Amino acid sequence: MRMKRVVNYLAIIGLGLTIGACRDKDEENEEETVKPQVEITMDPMYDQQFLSSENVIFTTEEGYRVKLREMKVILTDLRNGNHLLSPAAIYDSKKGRTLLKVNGTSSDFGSLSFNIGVDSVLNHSDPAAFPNDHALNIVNASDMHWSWNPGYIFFKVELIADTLDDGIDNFNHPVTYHVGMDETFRSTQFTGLNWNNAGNSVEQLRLKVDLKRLLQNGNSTVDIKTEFMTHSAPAQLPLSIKLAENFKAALTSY
Amino acid sequence: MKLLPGFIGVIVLISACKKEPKIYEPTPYSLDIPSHFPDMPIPADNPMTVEGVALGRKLFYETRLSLDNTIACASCHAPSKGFSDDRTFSVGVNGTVGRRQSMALVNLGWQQFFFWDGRAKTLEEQILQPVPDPTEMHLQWKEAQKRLENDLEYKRLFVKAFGTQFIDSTYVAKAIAQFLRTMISANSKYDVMYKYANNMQLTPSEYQIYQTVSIQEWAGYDLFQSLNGADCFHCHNGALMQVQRYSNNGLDATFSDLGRGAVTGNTSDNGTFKIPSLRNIEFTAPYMHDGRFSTLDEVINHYSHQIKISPTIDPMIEFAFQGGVQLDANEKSLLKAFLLTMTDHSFFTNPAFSDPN
Repeated sequence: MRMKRVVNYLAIIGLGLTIGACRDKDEENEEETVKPQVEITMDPMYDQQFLSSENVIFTTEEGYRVKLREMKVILTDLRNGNHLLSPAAIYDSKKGRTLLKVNGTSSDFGSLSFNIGVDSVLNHSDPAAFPNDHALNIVNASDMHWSWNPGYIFFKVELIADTLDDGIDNFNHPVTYHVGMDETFRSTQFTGLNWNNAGNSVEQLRLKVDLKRLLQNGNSTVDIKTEFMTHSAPAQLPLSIKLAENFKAALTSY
Repeated sequence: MKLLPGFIGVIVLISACKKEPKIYEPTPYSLDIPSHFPDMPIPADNPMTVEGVALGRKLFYETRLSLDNTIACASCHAPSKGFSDDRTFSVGVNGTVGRRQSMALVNLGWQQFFFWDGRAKTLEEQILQPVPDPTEMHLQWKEAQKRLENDLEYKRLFVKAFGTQFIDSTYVAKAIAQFLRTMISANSKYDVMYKYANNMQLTPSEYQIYQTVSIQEWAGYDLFQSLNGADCFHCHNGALMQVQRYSNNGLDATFSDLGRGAVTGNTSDNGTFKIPSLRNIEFTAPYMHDGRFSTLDEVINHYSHQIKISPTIDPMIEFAFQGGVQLDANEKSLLKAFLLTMTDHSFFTNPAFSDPN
């Protein structure tokens, strides 16, 4: 009698475990709930004009016709308040507008802060030592790194311009701004964030870099005809510092 | 009879817990990553194994992967030529001539795109292309698969590497990719100079090499890194001696080969090509995507005086408007001395990379 009871208990436990073991699979098959996400994007613009491809032409205040060839930016220490979102991210105009995408909702966000560039300690450390998925790893940073000294290129803006107002397309004036060195490191913060519903449970915070502001920020102007190149070498550093200040002002949410 | 439900329950329980028998247990391959290199990203679906690498090495030298059994991967990527080809254009089966210079195979595990025009995004994807290409090995993968399956040795090696006797192009590509990822070159004089210049610790043997670096080689290094010197570092930099992007380096004013532009259809990519590593450049002539330069002197002359302006010229070529960086004879000689420091003899002669057949 006792034996029979034990065996029956075993049977019940066995079936229970078997069903339990199968439950996970059943649950996997259930439709997964889409987790809400927030996405931070970046767009190069000239005033209100989106520079969505390398063939879009904008006209500067001086009447120069210009195309954006490439814009890349390294942002570090991206934070929502005190909460670290990502140690580093690279925006690359050739690779799409998403800068960062994380789980959460806009209500979780109080503010957004980050550095434009890399602080002096990281800037001169071994670029091969970062983990593979870190934006500052030399494989990911690639052409955004010069060498251990001077370190990373914090942002680059490359334009090609037609500076002759003669009605003939002749985009032959390259403009190259490669801004880096510790002196051009800047930090910025956004509050009162304006989130947009992008559908699919994604809320977007859209940042833009307004090239109009990059070239003219109050009294701080850059004439692409004469100030057309910096690689942040010592003699070029004043232009790089001016561009770093203007870039910070040009970077806004919209 | 009354005990039956209990027994059934126990049997169900046991069978639910029974694990699938393991078919194969490949040995993990441990890559020896140089101290000044980043970790190598390995694709999750193609982990490195000793058996996979051994199979890949054999396949790399396998001529049966070509239509007439004459050409292997190594035919156009020969160890003695820096895993490149000294012909301007490689010759495929039946003498068919290709249209671009064979790229040197080095440190491929860190590359983010492949071919001069970047049309392959992964190493595995790249390896799939030369076999059926009519200008290269010109063999349909189905036929290649049949040939390998008829070879008992290969069947055994595929079982050991991937746990399957079924051979297809995917497994072939995975095996060769594993082998190619082991081909790390980081043992040149330049590596020692790079580590020294960046305050990295040198081993005793590296210190000995450091003491042999000549004044001319250091002067060439400075020129290479200088904006107002040879200005090479925008494209050739770091431990890999390259940056990973495309560039129009001023070879032509108009393009007979659109390069990256033919892949993207974007006119702003016309005439741009993948920037190659300069490692072992002493042995990888001829140079450029079309092999137009036979010697390093010709290459240096190009960047000094022969840059041609076109709408997509790389803006990094700062002195393009005057034809180049205008190096004088002495500077050219110093730059060449530095370029020769990138030779890694141990790489070509490494027995682990030689033909096992």
